[in-house]
Amino acid sequence: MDCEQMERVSQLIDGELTEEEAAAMRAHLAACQICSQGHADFMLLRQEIKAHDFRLKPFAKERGLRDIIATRNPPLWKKRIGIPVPLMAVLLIALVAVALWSVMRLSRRPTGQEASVKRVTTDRHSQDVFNLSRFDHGDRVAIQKIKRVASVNQ
Amino acid sequence: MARDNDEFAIIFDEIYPGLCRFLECMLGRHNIAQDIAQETFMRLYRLGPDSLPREQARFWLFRVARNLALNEINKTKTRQNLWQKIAGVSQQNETDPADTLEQQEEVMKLHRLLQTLPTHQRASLLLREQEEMSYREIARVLETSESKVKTDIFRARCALRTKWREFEGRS
Repeated sequence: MDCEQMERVSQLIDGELTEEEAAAMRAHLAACQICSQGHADFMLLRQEIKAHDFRLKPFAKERGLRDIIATRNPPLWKKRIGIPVPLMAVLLIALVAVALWSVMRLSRRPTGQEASVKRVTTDRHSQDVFNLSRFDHGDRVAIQKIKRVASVNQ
Repeated sequence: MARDNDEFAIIFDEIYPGLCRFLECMLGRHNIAQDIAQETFMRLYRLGPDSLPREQARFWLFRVARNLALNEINKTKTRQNLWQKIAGVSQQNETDPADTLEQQEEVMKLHRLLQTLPTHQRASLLLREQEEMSYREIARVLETSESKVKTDIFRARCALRTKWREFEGRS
């Protein structure tokens, strides 16, 4: 068995009714046994819940605060670096692009031997003679004999 | 920086015990409540003391603590379900050794009764009774409407009253 005013009892003890509503409710409580009992039970529950105390261990609060504040100046190896996500993305893309470019460049670059052979053969075709004067800087030069491909002119 | 720390220490000093109590009643476990309260304050500290005025910090802290508590409740449920599946053992409560002795000596009636309430009702009632927040403030913390808070608190009280009587009758 319940009274339809019971929800208002709950509001009354929480101080959520206006002055007029509260006065009307108090009048109702005086007349209604169900609501009166409900009011008493709700108040008892409130006491029980309020009476519950959290038992902190000795110095737990002080230690907790100290631990939190200690995180502001962590050792170097524990420090975090805050970088905005868009900037991080741009940096990553740039890094990948540079890496790809370097790899492609390295894979295309001819070796030193091939380069010199190419140069000599190019000169040979253009002038039809070996002109070694430009190597004459006291450096060594390696001349490789290259099998001539059958000339198209012949 | 020292002034920031002082400001933070004031907030910590003021709210930490209440937050621990709220979390203990939400979770029904003492040790984990303190860990979650610590984690909650850590998050505030990372935000920086200037990021929230003191009054807002209180609501923010309880909101974050409530969310972390709900996560913990879900994790515990998942672990219990898994354990039951593996071992085929019905385990009422997950307890750690530190909690066991405490549970034996402490009157766990209130905790046990509170644990039977749905989490949203439990949170609303605890914020009302322990923290003495108004319906509007509770609605702000729990990110819900005042009318829902009003209904939740009333239902929580009615359910607790009924269970309290059953409990008294049994014992």
